Amino acid sequence: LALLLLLPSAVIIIGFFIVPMFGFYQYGFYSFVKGKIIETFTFDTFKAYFTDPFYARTMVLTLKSALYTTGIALVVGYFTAYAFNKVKSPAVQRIVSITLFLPLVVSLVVLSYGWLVLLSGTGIVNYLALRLGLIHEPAKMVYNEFGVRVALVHSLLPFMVFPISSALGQIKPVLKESASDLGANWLVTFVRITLPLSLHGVISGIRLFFTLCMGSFVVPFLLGGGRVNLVAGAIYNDMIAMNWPNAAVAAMFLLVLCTGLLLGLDRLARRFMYLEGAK
Amino acid sequence: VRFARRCSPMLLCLLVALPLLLSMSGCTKPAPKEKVELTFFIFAGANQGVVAREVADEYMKKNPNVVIEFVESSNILMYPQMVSHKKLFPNKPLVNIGYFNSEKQAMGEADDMWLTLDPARIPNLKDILPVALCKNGKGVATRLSPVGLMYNSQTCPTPPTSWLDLINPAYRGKIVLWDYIHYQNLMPIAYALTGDYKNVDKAFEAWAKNIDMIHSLQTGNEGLKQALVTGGGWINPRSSSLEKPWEKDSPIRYAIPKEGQFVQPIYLEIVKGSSEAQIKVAEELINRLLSPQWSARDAELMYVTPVNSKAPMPESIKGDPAYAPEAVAKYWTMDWVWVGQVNQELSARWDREVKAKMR
Repeated sequence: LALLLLLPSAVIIIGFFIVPMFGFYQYGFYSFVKGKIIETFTFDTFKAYFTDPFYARTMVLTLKSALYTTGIALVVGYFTAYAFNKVKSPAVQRIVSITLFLPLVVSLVVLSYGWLVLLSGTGIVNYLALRLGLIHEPAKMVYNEFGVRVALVHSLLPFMVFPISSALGQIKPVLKESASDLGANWLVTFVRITLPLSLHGVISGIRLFFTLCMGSFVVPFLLGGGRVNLVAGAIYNDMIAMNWPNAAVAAMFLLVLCTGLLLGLDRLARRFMYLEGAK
Repeated sequence: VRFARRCSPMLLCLLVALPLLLSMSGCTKPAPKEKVELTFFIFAGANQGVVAREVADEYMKKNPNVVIEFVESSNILMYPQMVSHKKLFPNKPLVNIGYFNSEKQAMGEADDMWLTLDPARIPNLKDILPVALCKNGKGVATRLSPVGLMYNSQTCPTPPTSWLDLINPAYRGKIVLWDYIHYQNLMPIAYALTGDYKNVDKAFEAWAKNIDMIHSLQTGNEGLKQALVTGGGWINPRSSSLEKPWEKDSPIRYAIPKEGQFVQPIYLEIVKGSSEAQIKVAEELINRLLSPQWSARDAELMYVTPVNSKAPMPESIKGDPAYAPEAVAKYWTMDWVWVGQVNQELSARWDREVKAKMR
C-alpha cells in the first residue's frame, strides 16, 4: 500500500522532472558554434566550461554567497525560532507566523523590487541614515552582494525558522527544568540542552536554505546589477542565448555539487540524531 | 400535358439560365473553403499586438474559414520553445507567423527556422524602406526603432551627445547597460571610435579601461527604469520607442548621438513547416501589415518609424527629431546575421573582460 501511495508522486517526479532533466543534460555533450547547436558527441563544452575562469569565479561566488547568506540566516533564524517558541499568546504566535510566511506568499519579483526601492540611494534606509547623521552620503546597498544577501535572507528565512522552531518545540520542558533544578543557569541550559537537541532542526534548515541559495536566480538578477554572477543566472543567460550545451554542463555541475553537499549534511544530521538517541 | 408541352422550351431555358444567372450574381452558396488555423506570435506588453489583432480580425471577417489564434509572450521565452518543438514536430511549428527581434531573427536563420518572403505574393514589399529588408528575404522588419541614448534629465547634469559618452569620465559610475546586448553596449562604441561597428576589440578595450563607468547591468525594462529613475543611474543606450512612453511619468529623456542613431528592427517571420494554406494566409497578413495604413497605425502606437515609404508620419512621433526625415536618412544598421553569429563569442568575452572585473 505504501508503494501504491508513492506512485503518483513518483510518476510526477520521474516523468516530469528526472526524465526531462536528463534529456536536457544530453546537450552538455554537444557543442555550440556560431549561434548553432552542433549535435555531435563531444566533451568540448565540458573542457571549455571547466577551463574558463569566469565560470570558476561564478561557482566560487555562488558557494561563497550561499555560505554567507546561510550563516546570516542561521543566526537570525535561530533567534527568531527561539523567540517564536517562547511566545505564549496564540494571537501573537499567529501574527509572527504570518509575518514569517509572508515572503513565501509574495512573488520574488515584487519582493526584490521592494528591497530595491528600500535600499536604493534615495530609499528610506539611506534617507533615515542620512537624517540621523549616521552616514554623510548615500550608502551603496543595491546592485552588489549586500543587497542580494539581505533580500535572500528575507525571502528564504521561513525555510530556516520553521525546522528549527519545530525541533525546539520537540524538546521536553522537563529536561530544561531538571537542568535548572541541578543549578544550571540559562546559558548552561541552552548550551548543554537546548542547542544540542535542536541541532537536527538546524541541519534541516541549513540543508533547505543552502540548497535554495545555491539555485537562487531572481533576487541576484534584480538586486545584483550584473555584479553578482551566480551559477543559476549564468544558466539562464546561456538558455536564452540558445547556448544549451553550456547551460546543461553548468546545470549538471550545480546538481552534482548540491547533491554532494546535501549528502554531507544528511550524514551530519544522522550523526546528531544518533547522538540524540543515545542521550 | 398541353401546358407542359407549351412550356417545355421555356422551362428548359429557365432551368439552364437560372443557375447561370445566380452563379454570375453570386447568389449561389460557394463551395466551403478548407478551414485554416494559424498561430500568430506577438509580444506581450502595452499596444504590442493591437495592430496584428486588428488586421487579423478584419481578415477573419472576410475569410470565415480562417482562424487566427494569438500567442503573447517574449522572444526569450518563445524562441527556445520553438526550437524544441521543431525537433519533435518539424512540419507542425509551434507558431506560424510572428514578431522576432534582430537577435532571434539571426538565430532563426542559423536554425533554418524562417521561410523566404516572396515579393510576388507580398506586393507591399516593394514600398518598404531598404533598411527594413532582410538581405536574403528571410523576414521583413515591420518596426524600426531608432537607438540612441536615454538619460535622466533631472540627475544627469549635461545630456549626452555622443556614443562615446558611455565611456566619458564625466559620467563615471552612472552608465546603466542591458546585460549581453552587444549591439547596444559594444558596437556603437566601436562605430564611434573607428567608424566600423564590427571592430569590437576597440570597444572591449574601452570598457576594460573604464569598468567603473558601469552603474549596473540590467535584464528587464522595469529594472532598467528603476535604475535610471531612482537607482542612481543616468544614461542607458536604448531605443527611442521604449523611452517615449516613459516620458509621461518619469524624467527619462532621449538624446541623439552625433554619430547617428542605429535602427533596431523587429521582424515579421513566417515559420518553416507551416502548411501551404497557412503560408498563404500568413503572406496576406504580412502584406496587410506592411500597407501604408497599417504601417502608420503600428508606428503611431509603438513609437517606431513607419517601414512603408508611403505611410504618413504618425502624430505620436511627428516633430520628434529622432524620427525626422533627416534623422531617418542618417540611420545606420548592422548585419544582424553577423551579430547573431558572433553573439556567443562576444558574450564569453563580455563575461571575462567586463563582468568579471565589475566590483
